[in-house]
Amino acid sequence: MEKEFLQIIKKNQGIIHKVCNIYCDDQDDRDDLFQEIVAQLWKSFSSFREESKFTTWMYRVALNTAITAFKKTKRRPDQNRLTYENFQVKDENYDTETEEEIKNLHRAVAQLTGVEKSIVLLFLENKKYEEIAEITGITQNYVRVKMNRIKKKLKKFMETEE
Amino acid sequence: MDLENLKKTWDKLPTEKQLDESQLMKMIEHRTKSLIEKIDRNIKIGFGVLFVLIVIFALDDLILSPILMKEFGEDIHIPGWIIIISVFSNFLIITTFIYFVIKYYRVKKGCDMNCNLKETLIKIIDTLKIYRTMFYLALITFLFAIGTSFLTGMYKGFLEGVQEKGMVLTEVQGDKIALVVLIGLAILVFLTGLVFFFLSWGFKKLYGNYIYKLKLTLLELQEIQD
Repeated sequence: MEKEFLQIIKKNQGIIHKVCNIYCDDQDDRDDLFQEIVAQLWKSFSSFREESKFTTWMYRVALNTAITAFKKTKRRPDQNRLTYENFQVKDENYDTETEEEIKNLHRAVAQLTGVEKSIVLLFLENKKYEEIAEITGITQNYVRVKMNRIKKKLKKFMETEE
Repeated sequence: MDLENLKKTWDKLPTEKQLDESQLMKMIEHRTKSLIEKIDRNIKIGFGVLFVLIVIFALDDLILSPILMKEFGEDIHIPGWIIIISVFSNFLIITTFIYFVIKYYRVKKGCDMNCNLKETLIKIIDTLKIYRTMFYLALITFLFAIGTSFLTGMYKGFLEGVQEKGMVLTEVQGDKIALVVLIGLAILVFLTGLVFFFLSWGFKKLYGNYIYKLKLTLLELQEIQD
């Protein structure tokens, strides 16, 4: 079972990276959350009953873990606040404009609550409302309502930024 | 920047370093830090504390009390009702904890991280709340038991002291009785206060604080359905 688990997680680890990316703004936190999610997936693996797709189950466990496990316990005054330096977006292939866009993305997402982040992540991952509802355990209607609120929230944030 | 723009930017994010199976293997042995996992750990600590309490009660009943009774005279008779209250309060503390553990693991068995998080949180918070109520009821019973034992012991001791002097209680001066009552009450309040503070602090540390933290997470989840 362990071997099967490791293979399937290795194949789908992109999901965990994405969850970590949306919930954490520095590399240390991302590493901690990644480890936490893998440990939690392993603990819950025996209860995966194939009633849903593996990736759906994986998103659910990863997001639930991010929401409940990653209430920051470390209080480091210089790192609690979101800073540009925290975003590791340096890439040789990026131009300044792309870098700025990625920074803006992180700053916008940082305005959202833990649950809103999970909905936005699934939206960014092109999940349909039906699948977002299945992963988050809320109805499709609520997903729509929530998406509208998130849009308004982000719009307001961007307006104040400009 | 609207959501569509965010989506375009999201697709440009760099690909993270891919971990191999040996690196993932190390992670599955990692101790998790989630609130629910911490409660699991604290239940094990709770069992440890309970075991220590049982050992202390047993040592008191089987060793310390008989030694003290020999020391102060073998004719000391402990009223039956005090023994009943004492046994009942100990029984209540133990059964309350065991009831909580059974209820908690039933909730956890039925639902975990891979379930609807909101429902799991509601059930765990309810279980913790019930345990909190039961714990304080058991604690009050326990304090009542040690309080009455202490007062009865003090009364008996005072009475024997008076009888040794060849007097009866009605012959003792009122201010002396008042002084004894005051000192007795002061010691009683201090002792029960200390026990209450210590056990209450222990409970909050192990479980009580998690009710608040879990409620915060639940509030965040419920905000979706406002």
